[in-house]
Amino acid sequence: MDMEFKPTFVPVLSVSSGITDIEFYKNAFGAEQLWRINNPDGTVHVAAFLINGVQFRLHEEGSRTPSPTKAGGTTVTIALVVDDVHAVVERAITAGAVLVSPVQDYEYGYRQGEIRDPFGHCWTIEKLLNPEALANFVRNA
Amino acid sequence: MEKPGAAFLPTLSVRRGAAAVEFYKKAFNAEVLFCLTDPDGGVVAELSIHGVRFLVADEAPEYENFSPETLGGSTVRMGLVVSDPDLVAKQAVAAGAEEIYPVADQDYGYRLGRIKDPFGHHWEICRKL
Repeated sequence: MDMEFKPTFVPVLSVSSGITDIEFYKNAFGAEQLWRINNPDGTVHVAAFLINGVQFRLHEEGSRTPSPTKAGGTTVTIALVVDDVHAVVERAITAGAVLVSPVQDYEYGYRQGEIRDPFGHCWTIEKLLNPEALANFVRNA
Repeated sequence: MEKPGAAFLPTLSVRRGAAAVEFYKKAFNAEVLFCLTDPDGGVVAELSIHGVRFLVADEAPEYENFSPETLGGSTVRMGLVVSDPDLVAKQAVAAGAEEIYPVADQDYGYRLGRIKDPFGHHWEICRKL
């Protein structure tokens, strides 16, 4: 792999067919919608969002990439690194997310809260408070 | 309004976490930043692909973390933007991934192919054209 080129992730979240309203990501995370490809009936096929320069997409589910609704859970949890964990979790709840795990400061140095978005995807909202605690935790594990 | 940081840190739930870590090392030249092992052999590991970080963890259905094998599919696929998608996809297949479709120039402006890793996660290896 070319060391000069910095690779990036673009997570693609499968969502159910027939979804029209995807304002959640703007309201919850301040995401900017880059583009959106609709089905003829106006429901979402693919949509790209940007959060501070980092892209993610929603994609209508396929047979091998089911939505969490169809699959009955998620296979990937995405952590979103923010400054004010409490504020982002609160805003996400107001925007329609479900609280999975309230914001706590963990012994491994992270402040984390977990939410499930209206389409079933799990997000860990987090901030590394104490890198030394993480290093110690890893060393002593 | 809160200004979120620029980082996503995905956690991929798998069965056979220790083997998965070995696969990602071979397939993507991932570097292991840390790897915690439970007494029962389960792992939580943080990996870096040239600075792109992600975690791999053995599934924990009691916490609603499911592997693609358990759910029969993957609810998030990982777009991985690299300089040479042909090379990276080839290396992943050599390490044991299954090609879903080959790397090719797509009409939406990406050179992109898709693979499924041995643990059921789908990766779209790509570069913007």
